[in-house]
Amino acid sequence: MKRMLTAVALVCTTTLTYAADPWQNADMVGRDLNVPLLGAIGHVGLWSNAVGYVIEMLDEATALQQNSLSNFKSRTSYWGASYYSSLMSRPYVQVCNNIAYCDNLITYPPDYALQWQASLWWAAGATYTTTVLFTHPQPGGWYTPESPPWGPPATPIYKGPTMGKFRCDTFVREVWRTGDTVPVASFPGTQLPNTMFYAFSIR
Amino acid sequence: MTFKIRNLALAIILAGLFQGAGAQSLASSLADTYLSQVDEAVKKQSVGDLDTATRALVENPGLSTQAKFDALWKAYQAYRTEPTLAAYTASAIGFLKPADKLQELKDEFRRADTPSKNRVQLVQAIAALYSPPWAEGKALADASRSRNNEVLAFLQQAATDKDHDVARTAVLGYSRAVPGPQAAALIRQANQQGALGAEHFMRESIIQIPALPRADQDVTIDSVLVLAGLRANGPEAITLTRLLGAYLKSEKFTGSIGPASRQKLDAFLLSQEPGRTPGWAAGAFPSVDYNNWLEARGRLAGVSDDAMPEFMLGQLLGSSSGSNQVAAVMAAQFGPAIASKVTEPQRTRLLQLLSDAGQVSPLARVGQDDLRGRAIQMLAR
Repeated sequence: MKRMLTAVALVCTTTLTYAADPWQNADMVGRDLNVPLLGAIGHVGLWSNAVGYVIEMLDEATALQQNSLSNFKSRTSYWGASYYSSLMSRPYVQVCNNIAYCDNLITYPPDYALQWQASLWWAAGATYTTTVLFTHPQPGGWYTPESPPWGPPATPIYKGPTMGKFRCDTFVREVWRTGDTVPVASFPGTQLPNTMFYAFSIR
Repeated sequence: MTFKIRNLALAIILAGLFQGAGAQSLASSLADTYLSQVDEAVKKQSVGDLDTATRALVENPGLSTQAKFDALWKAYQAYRTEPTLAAYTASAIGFLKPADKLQELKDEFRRADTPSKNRVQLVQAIAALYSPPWAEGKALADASRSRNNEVLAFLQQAATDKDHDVARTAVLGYSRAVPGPQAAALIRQANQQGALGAEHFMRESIIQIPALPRADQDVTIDSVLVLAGLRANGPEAITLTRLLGAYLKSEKFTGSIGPASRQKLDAFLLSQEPGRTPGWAAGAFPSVDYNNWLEARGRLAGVSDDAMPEFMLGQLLGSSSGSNQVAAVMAAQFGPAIASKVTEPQRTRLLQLLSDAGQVSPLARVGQDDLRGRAIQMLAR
């Protein structure tokens, strides 16, 4: 009987360590990932409630992907969701209106602005880096080349958006950093998926 | 881990103080120090230590690009057969943009024993050496133009590589550097060879559109529509809807497209309403995609910024809209203009739609309700 009670207690304890689903725009989701030679650093993505997907950087043929939460949870052991507790008290943020040509900055509430930024960057595309270094995607547009002083004015030339370059954690961090929404001091000194996930509040 | 930060700092300070032969030997000691840090990080299986050492090197303004390149290159050579470490160091080299190292990078790419993952990173590093004409704010110097030509010739050749990862990376590099007919041809060719995948093919094709003559535009648009139509409401159709929404919502972008292709694009979008047609994620409403989709449909119909609020309002007041659709539009660019322009009966109708609880998924929870709450606040003013 005592053994049975212990078993029941263990089951209850296990049930209590439930990894919660994300529910607010720009929640961070995390799961296990082992990088050969460099250890078990984990993997994080960004939950976009306003799209219904996890936006995440993966070392795959298409690096910046939008996947369902069930897909994210099915790959390795799921950690749950974490979030910046002061997010909704942060000021509204200006974000480009579109990735083809940023002719307007639109002001959004912080959570919506972050996930809007993630969607813009997904549309621009990104390549994967294992390093902590990164570059942001840039919107496309039209530029006017320098014309010779004796000739007619040059015709504007189209340039496409540039791709970003991120690791999974730097992607989430740089989205969260949009408009200084999540202050830089909130991030851990050593930037890795697991250190970043657990540096914020857990759902 | 003994991290030898003191040694690195010393090397950095000394490297800044000395020139010529002295600087050369110090650069070599810097490379040795970085390599020992990589060795230590590998022993400890610590990406964090590797990141710290790499940032200290790459982001140090007191070091020349040459010294940084030498250090990364030495580490790359030491680990060139270890895919993770080789990709790491080659990727870091890409961030340096070492303009005068094009030949070294090309030579390494062409070595018969260079692993695939390294070659992918080397292509990216080479593509990063392309200087866009707008970047320098004036006409490019001869050296930059000549290097650009060399980079583009390399990417064109690499785009036909048998290794699909390499070919895809080269096509992406070329496509973003010089959008136009040549890039569109490379994209089609790589796609036919199976190197791109549907999402890359669609995204890169769409990005070319404003840089293409009308006939090429039509061919490009037809090809992405055919791909998206292969599986009704399949993932390709959803991805294309998202991409078209993101790009066509720009008035200037869509203004470059001819009437026949506009009609085809609109017919496609009409058949793929985000959140309503099958294939979209269950349990959440794709607010951003819906708003983009509606703006894109307006642009395809020639609607200007000034007329967009009225166009979107007309669509929202149509019989098929519900609270999700209204909340998505009110949260985005034209929401405030719509709120300021609505007549009283229109305001009442929109508020009615927003309060239609049956339209809110029980799984969407607070995020979705937040959008609805904000829309109600905007309209109730």
